[in-house]
Amino acid sequence: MSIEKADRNKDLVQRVIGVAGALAVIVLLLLVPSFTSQYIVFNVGSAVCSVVLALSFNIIFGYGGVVSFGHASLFAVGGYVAGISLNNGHGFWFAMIAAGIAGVVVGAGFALVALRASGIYFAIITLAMGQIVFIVAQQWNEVTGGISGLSGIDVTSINLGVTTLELPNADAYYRVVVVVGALFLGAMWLLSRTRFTRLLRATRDDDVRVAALGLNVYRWRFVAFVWSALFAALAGGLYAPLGGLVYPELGRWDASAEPILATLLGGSGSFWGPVVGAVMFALIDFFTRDLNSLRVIITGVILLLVLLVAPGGLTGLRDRFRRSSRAAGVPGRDDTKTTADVGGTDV
Amino acid sequence: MDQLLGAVLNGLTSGSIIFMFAAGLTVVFGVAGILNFAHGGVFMISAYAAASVLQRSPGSDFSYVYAVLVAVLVAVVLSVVLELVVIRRFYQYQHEYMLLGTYALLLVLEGGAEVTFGVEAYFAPMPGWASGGFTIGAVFVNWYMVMVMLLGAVVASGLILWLRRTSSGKVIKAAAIEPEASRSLGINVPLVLTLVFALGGALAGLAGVVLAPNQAIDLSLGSTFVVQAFAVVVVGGLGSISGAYVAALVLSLADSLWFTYLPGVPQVALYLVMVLILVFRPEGLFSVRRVTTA
Repeated sequence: MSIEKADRNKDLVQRVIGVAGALAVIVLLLLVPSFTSQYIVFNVGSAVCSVVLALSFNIIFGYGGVVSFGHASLFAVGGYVAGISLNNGHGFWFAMIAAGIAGVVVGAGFALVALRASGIYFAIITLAMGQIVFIVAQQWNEVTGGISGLSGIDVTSINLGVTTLELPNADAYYRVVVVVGALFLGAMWLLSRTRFTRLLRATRDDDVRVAALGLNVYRWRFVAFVWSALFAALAGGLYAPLGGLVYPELGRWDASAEPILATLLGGSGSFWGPVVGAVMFALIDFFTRDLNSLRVIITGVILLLVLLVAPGGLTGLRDRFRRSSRAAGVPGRDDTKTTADVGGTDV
Repeated sequence: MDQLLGAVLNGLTSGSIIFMFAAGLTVVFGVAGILNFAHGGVFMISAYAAASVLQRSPGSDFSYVYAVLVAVLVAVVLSVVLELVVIRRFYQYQHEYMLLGTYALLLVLEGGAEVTFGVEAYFAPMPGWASGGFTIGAVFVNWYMVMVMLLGAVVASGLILWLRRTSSGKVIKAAAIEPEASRSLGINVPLVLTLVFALGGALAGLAGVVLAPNQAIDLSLGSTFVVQAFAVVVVGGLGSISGAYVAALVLSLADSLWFTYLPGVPQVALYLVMVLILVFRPEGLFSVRRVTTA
């Protein structure tokens, strides 16, 4: 079948272009410190962590179809655990593994309670559990440093087995963030290609039918939430040494709104949507930083426009132009479904 | 004993204020299906408005009446405008999306409040009559606390009776349950929705003016209250007025007792009790689906 073959060739070409593009972006990011200030380097590094967080959120939102309004608290858990480990003299790998384990444990706790409900109840329960994390971080002074947070978090070297990578300055750690962040992104991309994710999407599109086919929807969503929590906590762990500081507001509910908004801005329907959204969000944040109160107004207005004009997000908009036959769907109210379905294409 | 009584009275007072706020939230959810983040912004702006009025003429009893009128009017106008201009367009979306849309509105309102009122906190003087009071044992109870608790009970019973007994209350329920059928019976459903937002706004304004003399009014007020009130309406069962009243009092009592007896431990009582209740009743204490009931 020549058409099929041509399609396959086209897919291959697209994949090669994709990989080359990704490598080019990584190289470009690695070069950032050589032509900008420390301040911008920190902001770009933060944006990398935000991208990982937004992607982790989209595992449970885009594929699982439930809105978690407590994801930043999982990021904060990872950040605090990594920070405490590093400040107690443990190495980078120990800190990251500890952050990951903490994320899995706390995430499993979230999922156990919140997944008993769905829809808006799920959103509010995760919001409340996130607030518990925030309040503990803010008030458990002996461990978390209270309102002022935990400072002086630093990684000076990383043991690579055969050799030790010395990190003499902040720029060097920034490069670690880029490389490890890209690895996390790659891991989530692989996760998005698995049978697991396809099943998860099926639970999102029609949970009743999936349940009727004998699959345990609760269990799939639980596993998805734990994966999602793992990557959120790893993003937090990676972030902690970047500025050397973690503080309670990293986990407050309004911080949890950011990965959601980034995902909506970029579009939850494709793997790259949250990446585009998180980068856009970081740019908005960066360029409005001197505008004080206007900053929140601008952010609010942009979000309203996205929700009203392009509910499928920016990537949804692109797909709408590219293939009119599979137009980006508007998340309509449909009583037979409890889940959100937005964006036109599946990757 | 005195310590316990003090904690209970404080819990009931703050619970009554949260209830007045949450009542507006839950009525709007019950009828329009929107969990409205912007409610927090409306409440905050009306508290600022009340404080501005009270600061101009401190001590005068008449100024408090004036403050109530101004705060409620501001909140009603703001809510109606938001509904007509923006929120109306969200009705077609799913609940989670509307939650995000109204969050964006809250951001705009918070930014607007910062532009209008500045970053310095406002303080409203306590009206003269409210500072007096009586003692039970060693606990001093002022008239302000008594007024707040009574007002909470009046709002709760008033809303419950109105929705159960009056024809206008029944029209609202009809518009919520069967919008199509209501329309064919000549009920102007979009108008009903706007009026419900006006009512929600009035309740937010009332909560704002009641709160004003009790604490510093700053830009974090709206989001702090809206998050706590979400906990209240979810524990109460979304859309249920009586559920919201019980939940507001229970959660605030838990918070106040924890604060009194476990002062060194992080103040997580409100959310912890919420989570515990929802483990056993995931849809809240008085669960109803998308309908305001008494």
